[in-house]
Order: sequence, then C-alpha cells, then structure tokens
Amino acid sequence: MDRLIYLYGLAQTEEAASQPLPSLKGFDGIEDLYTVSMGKITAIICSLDAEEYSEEKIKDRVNNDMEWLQEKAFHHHETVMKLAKIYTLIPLKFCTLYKNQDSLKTAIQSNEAKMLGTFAFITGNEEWNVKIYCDDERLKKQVSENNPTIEAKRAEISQLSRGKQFFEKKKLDKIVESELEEEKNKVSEKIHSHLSKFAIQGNVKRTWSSDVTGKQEDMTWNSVYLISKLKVEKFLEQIQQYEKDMKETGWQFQASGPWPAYHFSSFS
Amino acid sequence: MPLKESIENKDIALIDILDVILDKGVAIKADLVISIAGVDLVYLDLRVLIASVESLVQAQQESGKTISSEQFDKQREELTDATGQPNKWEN
Repeated sequence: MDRLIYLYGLAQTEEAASQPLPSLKGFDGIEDLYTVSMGKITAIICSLDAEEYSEEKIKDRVNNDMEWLQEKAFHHHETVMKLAKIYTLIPLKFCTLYKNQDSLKTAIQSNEAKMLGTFAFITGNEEWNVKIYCDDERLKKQVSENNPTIEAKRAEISQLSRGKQFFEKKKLDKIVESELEEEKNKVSEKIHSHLSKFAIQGNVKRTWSSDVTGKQEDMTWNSVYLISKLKVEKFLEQIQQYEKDMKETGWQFQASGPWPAYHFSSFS
Repeated sequence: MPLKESIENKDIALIDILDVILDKGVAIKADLVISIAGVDLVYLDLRVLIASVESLVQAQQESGKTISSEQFDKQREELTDATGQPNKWEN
C-alpha cells in the first residue's frame, strides 16, 4: 500500500530535539504525527493512504464536499497552531503532500539555505492579520457633505432645469461613489503605513466580498504584519485606538492572531 | 487582561482560516503530488472556494449558527462523551 506524506510544517532540528512532539492525530484522524529530521531542519508530517488521498479525490472533495473542507481546514489550522506554539515554525499550505519521504527530503534539502534564512527572519516574531471594514452608507454621507468637488457639482446642478437635473444627479452619484472609494483607500493606506511602523514587514492582501465574509460592511482592507513579540501589545493598542476614534464614522477593525508565519515564510 | 490575550482567545471564523491556509503558506514544489498545494490554489480560492464559502455562510445564516474552532471542539467533546471513548484529542 502506497503512503503519501502530508507536511504540516518545518522546525529547526535543535528546537525539535529539545521539545518532544505531543501526540497529535494526523489528517486521516487515525495515525499520529511524527517528525523526520534532515540536518538542521525537521519536518513534521503524517502519512496518508495514497489511494484515498489522491490528488483527484482531494480536488473532488474540496470542490464538492464543503463539510469535508471545513473539517480538514480546521484540522490543518489547529494542528499548525499547536505546533507553532511549541516551535519556531514554517507553516505549510493546506494539503501539501509528497509522494514519499525521499521526495520530501529532496525538496527540503534543495531549499535548506532559504529555509534557514526564514527561520532567522521569523524567530521572536508573530504574524497578525488586520481586516478593516467600512459602513459605506455612513461614510458616503460624510464624503458627499465634506467634499469640495461634490459641493461644487451640487451647486451647479441646482441651477439647471429639472430634466437636466435628473441626469446630472445620476452623474453626481457616480462621482460620490468614486470619491468614496478613494477616501476609503486613502484612509486605509494611511493606517497601513502607520501600522507597518510597528512591524518588521507589512503586506497587503486581497479583500473579500461581503458574500464571502457574511458581513454587512464592506471589507476595505486586508493586511498581514510580522511583528516582534515585544511590540505586539503596542500594535494592538494602536488598532484599538483607531477603533475608538473611527467607530462613529462607520469604520471597524478586526485583528486576529498570532498566526503561524504563513505570509512571511516564502522561499521564492 | 492584555489585548493580545483577549484577541488570541477569540473565535476565528472559517473565512479567516481559509484566507490564510489556502492563500498563503509555503509550497516547496519539488516532486509534489498534489497541485492544490501549488499554483492551482490561486484558481481554487478564486473560483471554487469563494463559491463554497458563500454557500457555507448562507447555510450558517439560515441555521443561525456560527462556526468556530471552539464550537468544533465542543461538538467533538460531546461526541467523545457520547461514545464513551477516551478523548484522543487531549494531549
């Protein structure tokens, strides 16, 4: 029976040797996780039945079996979280599978220098995610009341005949929309550059539509930061301050973490 | 309580987990079997994932439930209690 290797994360062998791996169930819920050391790097893995977890079958389930995806995504998340609490961990993507131990070894050995660099980069630091949401209607009102371009346009329209006013108002609505987007970006970018000062690195991510988030408010900003553990509290206090100051104007802030350093462990 | 602790103990939504574990994370590509772990992910989370998460969010809203890691644990505990099996999830 062929066995695949599911890779959760990589740790430094020195740390892995001094901190034994707790007993954790693997991806199939049956077998335990175990470690394989390759020089300075130790891989934390489990084995899986090659037939049951073939590429085709996994793809099919991801596409058609939402409950399965949810359960397995939680499993991956919880396992990697537990590991990241014990070790300085390079976390791997969901469903990173190798044909066998040899192919895993080859992959790790050929990237060893970069991985060691990543360990040095993430040691003592934490990944935090910040999502900014905005109540568009509330902000729109403010934008349209305090914007000179819009003010001028409105004054211009009031001088027109009724029929013309209708079309010009439509145009004005479009202007308000684009001014709103601009305002949202401007504010978010300013916050991002401020928050980045607390961080070693800050990256901007794609935002999600409200269909996906299930929230009424629009996701305006999605970003991740790698922060020294010593600065995390200050960083979060700053976010709390933003929250207090901007709540009235329709802004919401959602910080989550600490995450395993998913966004700061790139090898490419 | 420090801010960090209170945030750390908050429930995490599925979307936040997927946002992280699917969108980012390393894939060291040499001889991977599963391309989900590689480039194809970009397509996966754009087309399929969003659709699936949408339907999940809808289902949640209809049933009035939120999915959280904590609830997940609770359900698991209940199941364990019900079956009378030792809890394999505890370390």
